[in-house]
Parts: sequence; structure tokens; C-alpha cells
Amino acid sequence: MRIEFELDARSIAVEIDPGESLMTLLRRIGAVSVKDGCARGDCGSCAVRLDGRAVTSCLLFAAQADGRRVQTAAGLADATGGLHPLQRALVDAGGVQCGYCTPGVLMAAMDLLDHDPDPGEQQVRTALAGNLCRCTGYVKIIEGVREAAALLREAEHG
Amino acid sequence: MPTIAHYHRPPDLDTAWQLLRDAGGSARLLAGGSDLVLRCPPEVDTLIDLSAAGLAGVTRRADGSLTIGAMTTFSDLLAAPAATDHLGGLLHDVLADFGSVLHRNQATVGGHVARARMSDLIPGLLAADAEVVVRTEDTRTRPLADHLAAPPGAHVLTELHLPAPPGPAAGAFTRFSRSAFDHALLNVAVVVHLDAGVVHTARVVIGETGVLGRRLPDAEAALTGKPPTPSAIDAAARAVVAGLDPRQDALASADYRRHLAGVGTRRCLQQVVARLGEVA
Repeated sequence: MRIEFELDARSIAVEIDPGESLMTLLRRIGAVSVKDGCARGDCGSCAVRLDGRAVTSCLLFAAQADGRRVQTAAGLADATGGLHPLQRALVDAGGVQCGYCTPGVLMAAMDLLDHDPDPGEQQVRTALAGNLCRCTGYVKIIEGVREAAALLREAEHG
Repeated sequence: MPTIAHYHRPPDLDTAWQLLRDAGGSARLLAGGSDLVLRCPPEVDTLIDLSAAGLAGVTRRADGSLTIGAMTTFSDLLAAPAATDHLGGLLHDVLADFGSVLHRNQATVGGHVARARMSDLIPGLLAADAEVVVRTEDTRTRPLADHLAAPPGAHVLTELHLPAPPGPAAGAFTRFSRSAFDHALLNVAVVVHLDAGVVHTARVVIGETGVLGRRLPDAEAALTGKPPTPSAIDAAARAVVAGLDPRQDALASADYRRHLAGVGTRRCLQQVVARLGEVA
């Protein structure tokens, strides 16, 4: 079957197998910031935003994205490759080590910051509970997300 | 990967039902999808995606009852004060640690109930005396307990209905598991209605004992007709331990599950009493 959807502000029209997952499709068409970690919804490394909400793309059929808006970590940077404040803050805080979990963490954190511009530590921990990281021990990721929230609030209010 | 030949996204409930009926056993309804992607039975070649059929939303009626559309995600349910305030916070207890945000953003209430396996929500719904609305050739409403016990047959679960309590009432839920994401070893959901300071109705539900959720009549009787005092709570907890026949598996012995059931019942009832104090 053929589906059309928006991927990081680009229009995509693609032939899919109705049984394949959204993660499989995204990686097949080159969106490889979406990581194939556990493929069973446990690790969060395949997280994308579907109409704004962060979800594990391995647990969605690709067909469910038809007509919808999909955002990946690769769409966060600006046109010249300049990092998004959340990416910058995560790097500066030391919240990126091997990097495998990072795209999923970014998507879950973006979902959080959309709903809560000033999250406390517990809110960040709750929001990232579905994203496994085996390097950082999470503390630096949490600090990075809270720093990003401060940067984004500053940008918003000048 | 499931072998799917046909994928439909019907624009309304009538079309969804007709597609399901006409496909016979080869079709499955698709709600959030998180379970079906991993566990689609091999005989299934048709998916009927309910996301455009208008089945999402949470409504509190003027009489205090609550209607939850089957396609409501757990995130949207958790964000709806009408749902999380109902019975003093019973559904908040269930949902606050329900999977991760990533799961809650996708999984739906109707998909979860229809899946009818290991569940923290179903005991909570049973304690809340929930009814389900089911579309087949006609539309019928039946208690969730009857629905779960009914023989399988093609149907679309369209909404859940939680009746308004007849007076001051509160519920509570707790679960025991090795980690937050593990299936519960056992869970407990309790709802108590008061009438003039005396327990009018009590529902005590234990989940994961081999069935999805089982009411404990002796524990409910130990509470009914008396004020919810510490000694009544203690009697109810002991009745749960005595009345339960839990499963035994690699994770926990039956004795340990019985112990957990008593502890959970006591905790839930203490929470209910605290919440009833806020209601009164």
C-alpha cells in the first residue's frame, strides 16, 4: 500500500508493506537517527514524535503514520546544521556518550518541554523513564534537559 | 513481521463494524497498535485501524458518571481531571506508573481492555463498577466483568462507562512488581461507598491471581455495614489472605502473593479512608 506523511517537514510518499513497523520504514528510507534497539518497546531508542507525541516507532505499524506528522531527532538541527538548544544543552552537560540512546531521549524530552516548559527533576525522570541509557547514569541527561528548558524559556521571553 | 494484506482506516464506527463482520476471523481491530505489532496472530491478514472512527475522548456527565472512549490514550486519560478525580484518584493511582510516557502516548484504553491480558487497569475498572459499550449488530452495554467472561465474538468495544457513586466514595489502587515496567506480581483495587459514615458498598479486587481481576466477597462483607475503622480494614485484609488462591510461578510463590494481597488491601483501604476524609 502507499502512504503519505510528513517527515521532519518534508512530504514523503512511499510504498509500504502493511505489516512493517514505522521504525523499519523510517530506517529503510534513510531516517537512521531512529535506532533499532530492542524492537519491542523497551528501550526507547527508536522514539519519534507522531503528531507531536513521543512514541516508540517499533510498536507502530508504518500504515498508522499515513496522513500524519512524524518528527525525528534529525529534524531538530537548523538548516545549516546548528544544534537545537536541547541538543546543545545535552552535549554541554555531558549527557551524550556513545550516542545510541540520544535520538530517542531528544524526542521524549521535546515532548516533555512542549507540555512543561519548566520541569523539575522528577518530571524529567518520569518523562525519560522509557529511554534506556547504559553510559551516562542519567544524571547528566536530566541536567541537560533542565538546562535546555531554561535556555528555551529565555529565548521565548527574551 | 506480520503478513498483512489489507489495511483499512474506516471513517466511522458503522463502517468499522461492517469491515470486521465481513472479514470473518481474518481481521483484527487496531487501536494503538503496541501489542498487535508484536503479537499479530498468523491467521490475521486484515487490520482495521480505529483511529479515524471518532472513539477518543473523556466526558464527565452531569450526574457524575464518566465516559471514556475506547481510543483514548493513557496519556490523554491521565491528563483529564474528570478521569483522575473520579473516586478520589483511583485511575490516577493506576495510570501514573503505567508503562512509560512513550507507551502511554500510544496505547489506548480500549485496546488494553480488549487485549485482556496481564493488566493493572482492569482491576481498577472492576472496582469502579465499569460497564463497556460494545458494537455488534446492535449496540449493547454490559458490566465489564460480564464482558470479560463472555464467549469471544466479533465486536467493537467503543467506550467504557464508570457510574457515579451513590454518595461519598473513594477508591485506591496499588501494585507490586520487580520494576516499574514489569507486569505486576499482584495488584489491588478497592472502592468504598459510605452512607452516613458506614460502608454501604465495598469492592475489593485482586488482579493477576490467574484471572484478570477477582472480587473478594468475604473481604467486602467484612467492611460492609460498619465504619471503615482500622479493625474493619484489618479484618478485610485477613479475609483477602484467607480467600485468595493465587498462582505460583518463577517470580513469586502463592504464599508470597497472598501476603502481598493482604498488604495491598490494607494500604488501599487506608488510602481510601484518607480520601473519604477529604470528600466528607
